[in-house]
Amino acid sequence: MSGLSIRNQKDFYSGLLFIVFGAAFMWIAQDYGFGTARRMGPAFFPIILSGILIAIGIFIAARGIAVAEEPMRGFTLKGLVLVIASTLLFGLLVRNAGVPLATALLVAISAFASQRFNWKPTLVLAIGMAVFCVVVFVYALGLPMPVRGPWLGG
Amino acid sequence: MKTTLSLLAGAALMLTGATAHAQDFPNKTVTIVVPFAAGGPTDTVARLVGQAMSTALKQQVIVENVGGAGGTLGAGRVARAAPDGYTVLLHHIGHATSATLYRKLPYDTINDFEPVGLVTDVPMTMVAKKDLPPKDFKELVAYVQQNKDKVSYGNAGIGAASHLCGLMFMSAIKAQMTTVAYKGTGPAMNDLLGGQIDLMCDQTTNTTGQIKGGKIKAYAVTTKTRVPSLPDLPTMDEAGIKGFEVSIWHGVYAPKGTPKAAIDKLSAALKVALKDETVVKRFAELGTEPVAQDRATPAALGAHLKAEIAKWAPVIKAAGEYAD
Amino acid sequence: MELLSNLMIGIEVSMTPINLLYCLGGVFVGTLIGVLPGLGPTATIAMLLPVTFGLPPVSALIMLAGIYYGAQYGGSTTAILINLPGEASSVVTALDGYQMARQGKAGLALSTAALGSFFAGTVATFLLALFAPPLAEVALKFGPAEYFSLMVMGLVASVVLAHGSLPKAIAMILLGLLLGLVGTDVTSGTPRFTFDVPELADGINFVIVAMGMFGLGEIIRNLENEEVRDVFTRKISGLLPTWADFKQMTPAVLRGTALGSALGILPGGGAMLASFAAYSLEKKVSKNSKMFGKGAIEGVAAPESANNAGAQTSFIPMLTLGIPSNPVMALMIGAMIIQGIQPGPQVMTEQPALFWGIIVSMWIGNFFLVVLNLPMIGLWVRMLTVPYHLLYPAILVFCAIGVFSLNNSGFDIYLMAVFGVLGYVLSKLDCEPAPLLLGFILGPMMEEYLRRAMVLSRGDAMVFIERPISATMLAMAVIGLIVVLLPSIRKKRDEAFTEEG
Repeated sequence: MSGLSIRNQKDFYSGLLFIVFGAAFMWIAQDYGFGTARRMGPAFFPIILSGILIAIGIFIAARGIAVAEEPMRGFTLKGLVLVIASTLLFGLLVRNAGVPLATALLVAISAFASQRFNWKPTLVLAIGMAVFCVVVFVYALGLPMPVRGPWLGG
Repeated sequence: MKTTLSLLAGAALMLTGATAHAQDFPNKTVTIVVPFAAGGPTDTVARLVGQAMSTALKQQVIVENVGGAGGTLGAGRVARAAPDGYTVLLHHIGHATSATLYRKLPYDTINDFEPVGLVTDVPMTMVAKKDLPPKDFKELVAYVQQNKDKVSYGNAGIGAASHLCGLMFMSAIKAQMTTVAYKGTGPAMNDLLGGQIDLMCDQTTNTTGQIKGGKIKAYAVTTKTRVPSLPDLPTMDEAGIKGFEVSIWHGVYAPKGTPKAAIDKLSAALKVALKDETVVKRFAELGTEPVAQDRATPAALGAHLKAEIAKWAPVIKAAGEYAD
Repeated sequence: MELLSNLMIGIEVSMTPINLLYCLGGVFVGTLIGVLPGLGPTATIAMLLPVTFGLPPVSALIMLAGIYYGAQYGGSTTAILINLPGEASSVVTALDGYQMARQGKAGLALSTAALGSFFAGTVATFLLALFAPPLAEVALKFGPAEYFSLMVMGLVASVVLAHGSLPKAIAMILLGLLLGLVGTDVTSGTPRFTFDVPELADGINFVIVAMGMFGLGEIIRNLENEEVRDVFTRKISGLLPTWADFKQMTPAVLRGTALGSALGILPGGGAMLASFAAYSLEKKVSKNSKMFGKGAIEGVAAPESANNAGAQTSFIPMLTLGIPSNPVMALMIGAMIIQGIQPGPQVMTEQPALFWGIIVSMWIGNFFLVVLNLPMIGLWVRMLTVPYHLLYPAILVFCAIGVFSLNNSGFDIYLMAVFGVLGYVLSKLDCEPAPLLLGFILGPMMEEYLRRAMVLSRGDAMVFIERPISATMLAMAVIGLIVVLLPSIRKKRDEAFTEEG
């Protein structure tokens, strides 16, 4: 291996991530007023914090080049995509189509991410959760959530 | 998935058009949107009035808290809601001031709403930490003019009634204090009790208990007339600042285009609610009272809103403090 | 003797059958709310507020108080069983509690939390009865400078939270601090890092970050390797602590109770720090510190006691001064106003039945909680045997509904998804979420106090050293920093030497 290869991916990439976050916060904060010590502006605190974050990010990334450790395991793309997509869909549907439909779809789509996915128990769970949520959250606790949203004529 | 979605959306579009019938209004639950967190003073007002309106409308009236961005989030939600009278907004003075405080508001304060009626004017009080030297309001004015920015004034954040009251006070006596902003009046009151800050202007709901408990000093009330629960306090007008008047007034609005029949029914229900015994009694305990019956009308609220926007715009612009 | 007669008033009021019923109802609903992830006491109390209109004031407040501490209690159940902290205080309980659950010791963790909480609640209730007014006066001595120094101390202590890499923990705290600043700046009104999205104008709600990073992040991570997840939860050992467990947890409970009671009194964010501080303290003083983060019983006992003690003493500023120390207390004040009681210092003298009734009911409520929950532990633990592929979609639903209930806004759910991705990526990179969450809570408060202190001192930074309470805390922070950093520096040096040698 050459001298400057990345020996610890976790350190290197996390360092990089911190640098990116720090830089982003600092870049955006530049537009706000920095102020003085007495009247600190809205940029004062974030710029100092993001400066330190960048410094530590560089330190961690550098360590990732220097010190070797176990390599990173692969990402689960299926799990990530399905869980996130079903959550986003719930956010879209809950107000517009109502709690039961949003809940049932969230259960069904996210359950598909499992290796043990089986449509029968999933279907039971989806309907069960939909009923449970309507009964507990809407009726028992009285949260202002639509059972039937405007998209379904509610 | 995309096809399912567009199918759903299509079905939804067809269905929404058919539901509004102004004549039999209301035939389902009416939602009052409060653009602030639950438990706050505005929420309390809405819940009291909502309950009484529910009896008058013979329909359930629920309160939904849509807090955020100084009340503009909740107001925006109502501005975009279906104009059928089932979604209304209960907002306070902030509805008028946000028109100037926010330079890019996602709605038009006057043209996107139909006024329903005024609800109540909550008075404010000028209060101080208990060992502040001035003995009465005249001395206070002299004290602030002399010590200027050595005096600290707490407020509940840009655009809050406490902030506006302070701006008005400072411009009236032509002296700038050091303003200290808080997230809400609770923490500001805490620091006033602890003597960390000198002065504050806050609604009677929050201050009456502390004044009566002797924990803070009160100088004046900000309404035109004295407040029944604090009869010894002079008004600012009596005490020397002629014409000074700030109150946290509350109004009910519906989205633009709501049928007149629905507006009239809502306004009538509001009038009934404001005569309700419990409402009157509870309002008195809050240090306020319902507005006169002729002010709980669309015309009165519409005029008041315009007048208040005109009143605060120059004060806010002069201070150069905006919320965005 | 006055105390005795006062307590008698309290007992009389709270022991009426109807009030006992409301107390029981409150803690029951509270536990339920707490157990359902993401659904907090704030939303529930807000919803129940109209119900309390018709009740007598004492009953209404007894029930609302019951919901509050019941929810605190229920929250730790979820944190332990599925690593999902519904509120700030249970973040640290999740650290060791969940590890215990994975080792089949979920029952032990839950009973430890229950017993520790009960003990802490009892002590804090007595403190409340004995010293509420003087303690409230002490709390008023805390100005912005003192609070800032307290936050600095909390921040230093929080570095201890991580059991992995120190630089990564510090970076995560910083990232948390920065994320906490999103939203409208209190002092200037400038919206920061909001990208013109109005929903971000008031900042990001803690629950969204916690549900995203812990809830979604953990689910995605478990989906990587489902066999591992299932094996962990198949074996279950004893539900109740043995004598040896008792001996191990007792000092932790005592320290946690003391720390929590003290911090809970401070209305400016003290109670939020209680569990974090207790955990950090315990990890430093415990002989067992190597086990922290790997299922140490003290790591559950200390924060749970501190959290419950803090929850009780945070009633002090509310009841004696009318100052809300958190959103739930603000709601309780709202409930008082609706009931026609003017909150403020005179509540104690003008409404002794209310004041003492609530205090006594708190002890009764804590008792109910133990009685209700100890038998439930077996049931909860059995829940872990539900196959994960059926459990996680349900968890996901609760997270989503809980987050939605915050503002009834779909945007919050999208944001939770974003934090889910971030949490997953960061956990892949071995960056632990707990320090980030603490930074997230402390960020806005630290900035506010710093700026407020500087405004009031006219730009003189000496204010932090001139004020004795503030100076003491800063000194403790410096000592803490040395204690934390020294071992790792020494270790690095040792490592360097061994590598060379």
